[in-house]
Amino acid sequence: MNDRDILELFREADSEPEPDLRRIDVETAVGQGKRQLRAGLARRAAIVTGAIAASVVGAIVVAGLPVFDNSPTGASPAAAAVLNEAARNAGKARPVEAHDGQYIYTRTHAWAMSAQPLYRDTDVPADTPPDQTAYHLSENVHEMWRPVDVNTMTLIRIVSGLKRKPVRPRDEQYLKEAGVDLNAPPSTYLEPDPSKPSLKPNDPNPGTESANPFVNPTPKTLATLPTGADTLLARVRKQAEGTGNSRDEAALSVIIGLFQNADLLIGRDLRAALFRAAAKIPGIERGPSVNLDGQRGIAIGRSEAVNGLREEIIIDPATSRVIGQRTVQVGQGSPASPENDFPVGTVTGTSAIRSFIVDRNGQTTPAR
Amino acid sequence: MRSENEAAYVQYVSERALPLRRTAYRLCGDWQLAEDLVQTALVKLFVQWRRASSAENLDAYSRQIVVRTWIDETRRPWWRADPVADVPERPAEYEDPSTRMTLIAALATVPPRQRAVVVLRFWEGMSVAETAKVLKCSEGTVKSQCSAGLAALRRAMPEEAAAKVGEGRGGVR
Repeated sequence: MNDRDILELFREADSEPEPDLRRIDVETAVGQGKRQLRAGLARRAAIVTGAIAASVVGAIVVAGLPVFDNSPTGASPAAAAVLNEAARNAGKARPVEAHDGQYIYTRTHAWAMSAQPLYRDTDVPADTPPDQTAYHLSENVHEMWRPVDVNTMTLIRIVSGLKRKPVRPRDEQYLKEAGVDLNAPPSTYLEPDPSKPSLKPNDPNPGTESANPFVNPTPKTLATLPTGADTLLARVRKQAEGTGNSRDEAALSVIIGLFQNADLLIGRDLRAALFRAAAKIPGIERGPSVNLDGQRGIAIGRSEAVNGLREEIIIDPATSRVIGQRTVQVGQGSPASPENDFPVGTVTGTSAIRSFIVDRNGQTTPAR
Repeated sequence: MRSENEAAYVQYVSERALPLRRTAYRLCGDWQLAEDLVQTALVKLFVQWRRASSAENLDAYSRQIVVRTWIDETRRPWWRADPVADVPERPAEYEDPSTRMTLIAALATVPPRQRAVVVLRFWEGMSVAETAKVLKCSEGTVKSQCSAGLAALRRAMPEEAAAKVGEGRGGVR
């Protein structure tokens, strides 16, 4: 193939019709551009103020001024575009009709990182750090049948270790030394524990109901949440207080948790508000397109310097549905650990989520 | 009420967003990302509008912002090697035999700056000098990157695509 052929290929490739332009919004660009210009002016003014202050009280004080705080005012424009499109399409993800006596069945197909400490000397005190840590990815399937009326037992079944893969080349050797058999049969965990006959899947479980929609969401409690993005974000931040590595990470986790637990029950207005609230959280960025078990979506996430990880939520903006999650290594964490040397970009966990309403515990096909 | 500057920006962007998105798609091979890149570029263009609107060639200026926005994107950790991504994810289960998909898939294997040079030179029809200006590098660099990019593209093209073109359908217009 010569250069002329390549030129011809490019011309031929231009013949495909163009998709629509819903995601390019001039007014949004104008609004964000104005905010950036204002922020730039404010920063310049603050630097001047800071310089004057420095001359009076010394550089250490100036270093503590918010002058040097470069944290953005919300998600990156690329992430905001995805989230805003998901919000615009919120009406497409209609909440399902579910009634008392039915169950929300959620099946999560996950690959999760597992760490196995390795001690070469067997006679060491309990708090001795391991000589090495052996890491492997384990394929797991989590299934949960959560009763719509929340006051009966939730049935959980987790099958772990369907497949196992070492993460780094040296982990294969470490896993051997640690006695981890990569070909061991999978293990199953059940809740309620079948060895305790006092607890049965259909038993009443009084007291589970909570007025807090983030704790045990039901259509009734979800209806109490505000549907304005700013007021909802304030409510999310209140719920997130005291958790997570940072205020913003904690807020995103609350939103992700609500989608994980109640995606099927979230109506149009609340769904749109959740995506718009996420777009207001600083540090949120757009990731690549991701294929999770055949469902395509876009990764939206936030990197956390403390652990060097980016927690991502995978959204299909066209259907406004959350289809899964990923965790990606983006740094060594702080303080950096010599053990935490996974290459930047390593996916350390994924989960593809499917959810529908069923009529009884243990049923894995949708209710008619 | 819009200022005169803002009105000029809105009018320009309304007319030129589509070609800019096409440029972005040629670079990244993903329509959704292309639209996001253009949205990001439009914000940058608004911030720089005073300078941009007095530029000799506003289209080239805007395209430059799109190209640099994309190069910046590729420097983020998102785009780096993902040694275990093949484990948890299944590959796409469809194959599109069209020329566009073949070409986009092959282009995706070309390193970002070489890809930018190939797209600007061959798809956008820019001269070596124009390409060098957009990418802020020397004309010599454009030539060497172009040569390396084309070689990488040829290696990535499936044989049947090369053969199809070799049959002489249409020829260069």
